[in-house]
Amino acid sequence: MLPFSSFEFFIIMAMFIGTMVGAKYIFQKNYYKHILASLNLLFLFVIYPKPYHFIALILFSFLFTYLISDVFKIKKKIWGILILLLPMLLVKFNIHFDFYPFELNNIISFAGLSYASFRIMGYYMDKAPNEKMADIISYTNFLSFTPTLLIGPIDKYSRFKSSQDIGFFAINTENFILGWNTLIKGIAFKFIIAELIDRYWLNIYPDTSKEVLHMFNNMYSYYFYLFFDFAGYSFMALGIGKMMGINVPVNFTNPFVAVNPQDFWRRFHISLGEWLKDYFFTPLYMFLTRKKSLKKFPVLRQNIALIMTFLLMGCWNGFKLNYILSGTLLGIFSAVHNTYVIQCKKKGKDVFFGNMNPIMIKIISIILVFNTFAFALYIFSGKFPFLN
Amino acid sequence: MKKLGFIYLIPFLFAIAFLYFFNTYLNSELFHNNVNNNSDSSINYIENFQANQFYEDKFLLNFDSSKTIFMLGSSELSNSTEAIPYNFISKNFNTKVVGVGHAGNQCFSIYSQLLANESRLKDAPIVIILSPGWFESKSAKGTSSAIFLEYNSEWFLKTINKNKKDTEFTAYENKRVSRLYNEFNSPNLEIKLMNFKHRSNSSFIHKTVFYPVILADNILQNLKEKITSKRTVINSEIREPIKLENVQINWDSLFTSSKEEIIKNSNNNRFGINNEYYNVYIHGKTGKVEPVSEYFNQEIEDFKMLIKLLKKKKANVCFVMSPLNPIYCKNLNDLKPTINIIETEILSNGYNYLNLFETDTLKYDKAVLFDIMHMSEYGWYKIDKFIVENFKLTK
Repeated sequence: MLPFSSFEFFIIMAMFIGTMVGAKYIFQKNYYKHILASLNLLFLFVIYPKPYHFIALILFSFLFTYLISDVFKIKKKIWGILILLLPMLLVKFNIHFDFYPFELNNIISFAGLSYASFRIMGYYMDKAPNEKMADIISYTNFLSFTPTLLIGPIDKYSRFKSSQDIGFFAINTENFILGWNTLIKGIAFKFIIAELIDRYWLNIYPDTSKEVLHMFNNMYSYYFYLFFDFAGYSFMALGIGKMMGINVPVNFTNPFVAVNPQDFWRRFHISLGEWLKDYFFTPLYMFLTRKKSLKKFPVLRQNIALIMTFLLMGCWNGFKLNYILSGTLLGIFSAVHNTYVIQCKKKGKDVFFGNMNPIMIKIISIILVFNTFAFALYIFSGKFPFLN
Repeated sequence: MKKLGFIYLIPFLFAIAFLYFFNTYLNSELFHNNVNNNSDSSINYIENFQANQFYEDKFLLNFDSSKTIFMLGSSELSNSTEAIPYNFISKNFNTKVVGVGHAGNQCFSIYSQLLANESRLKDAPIVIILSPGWFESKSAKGTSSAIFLEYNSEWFLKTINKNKKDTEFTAYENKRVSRLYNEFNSPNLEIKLMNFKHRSNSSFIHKTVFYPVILADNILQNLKEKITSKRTVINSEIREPIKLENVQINWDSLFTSSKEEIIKNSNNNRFGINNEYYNVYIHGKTGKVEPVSEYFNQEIEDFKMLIKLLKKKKANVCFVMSPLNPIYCKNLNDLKPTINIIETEILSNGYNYLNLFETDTLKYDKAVLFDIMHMSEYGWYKIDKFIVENFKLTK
């Protein structure tokens, strides 16, 4: 059973929350992370479809992070990244060996691998050369915390650890009610709104239809479906996390009113946006800054880094045309906006809207961002008929 | 506390009251019994049960006053020709043949259908058309989840879940469903129960964790049963043996004329493939089979369990192994060990078997196939003869 896949998952979560509450009264303030690890491992071993895969990934990543950063002290992070991402890359590249008749994917892939890989990379990138390794229990909890196991949000180790360190104190009536409200919001998003969109809106017209109105319908319905489905998952994870004493980062805050691409990524899949900014955009931008040939072109450097970042995001979903194209498109949106902002600053005025009423500018911006992102995500969905 | 009561307690009580008063109305609106009785007893072919639920009740029983032989298989059955047994035998004999299946209806799907109807299996006349394609390449992974659902409704699966006597077979069903579990989109309660039961058998810890989940699912299933289903258990009937009929079929003449026709229409290539099919799909190309070792071959394991079930339940079953074109499939010989395993399994259990699989290009009868894997009229007449002789329909 995968997290949030059926109502039975919530029965298991109710048992877990009950155990945490019971443990609080038995152990007072000790052993929080141990009890949490026991529950996470219990879920992995007993309920998760491929338990040994996940455990192997935890041990593999822990061992190799230790070897790369503490034993061999490899300075160039890229080698560590490649080693730690190896399981995910093997899955994405669909490798075939002679000894096994089917694709290797059948053996090595498992649900949650991508999100775990993101967290593993984040930990490795954040770890300073002389910093002590994380303790294995906290590291296990960080990667296998049941509510965020499958689909994020992509947490950072330091943030997770500080939340975990609060321990049983975080389990109280106030947090329980807060968590309950968020859980209900998530359930409403995922199991009511997204479900209704899926049943009654998403498939009104076939994906293959090239009629403009049909395509608009498919574009908007998919955008709304994706938001409510994905945000639903995130809110449920946040709610259950809160009830178990862990603060899961907020992942969605009304992306439909975003006024520019930057604002959009502060509202839509926030943890992914932050992850990409911290671990890909910034290092890439620094790398490009060191290039002599690009020294005179700061805007170009930023825009290359932006497009490459979103291209990576597209490729992470798979090496398919729709993912690559949608990633590129999202990168172009950000690059265009970045150029616009710099030009406005340079010229001391709004180069696009001029002296237009700020409210009008905001309304136009919202409509523009809403539609361009709906289009990019329409391409991402694989439903765009001209790509099939 | 006042806020708590206002925000949570009052809405909760309101919801309970709403459900209590509108219970009957909601149930009748949300849950329909979709099964109607528009069954046509003259039907000879059922593509799947998902679109033909009303025939589930008649599976393995006589469809009308005549005795009925069930022919189970995959894509071969989809192409209705004059010679296909469900047309040919049904037309020429009082005994009827009903075909069930289309592409992908492989061993586990058939196993599950038969296990659900185990009470009807004793002496049930069944022909299983095996395809070599089931046991090679990706098909060797076994029946897909989508195909499984097409043939195994919640009602069939419920019967398996309620079966307490055939523990070995139900445990296998649970194991296989559990392996497919993550491929099911919104699995029904019976599929969930099968998965959880299988998982809960792993250890005491598993049993403890899954206990409340299984309990909740059972309660829900019982409630659902009360609301939706008028159908109860799958009933068996006293089966009378198939009677000898006074029908004379001139097989030699049928073989000769159909073979001549096939050869006439497949003269633009050396493969013995129908001209039109050759022009559209083959153009002189050759293909290869991708054998899968027994260790990784789920389909072989499923087949062995299928045989075991049929043996235990004393079904009156026979098997046909359909051919593949050895001139087109260059390495067909590599599949021979797999086909030998199947043959040994069938023969060692004492079942009649018509093996049309041939790897020797010189011995291969080019007229037996229409394309590279589907039977021609001539090929079907051979199978008709085998069925007629196996079930002793005529002298």
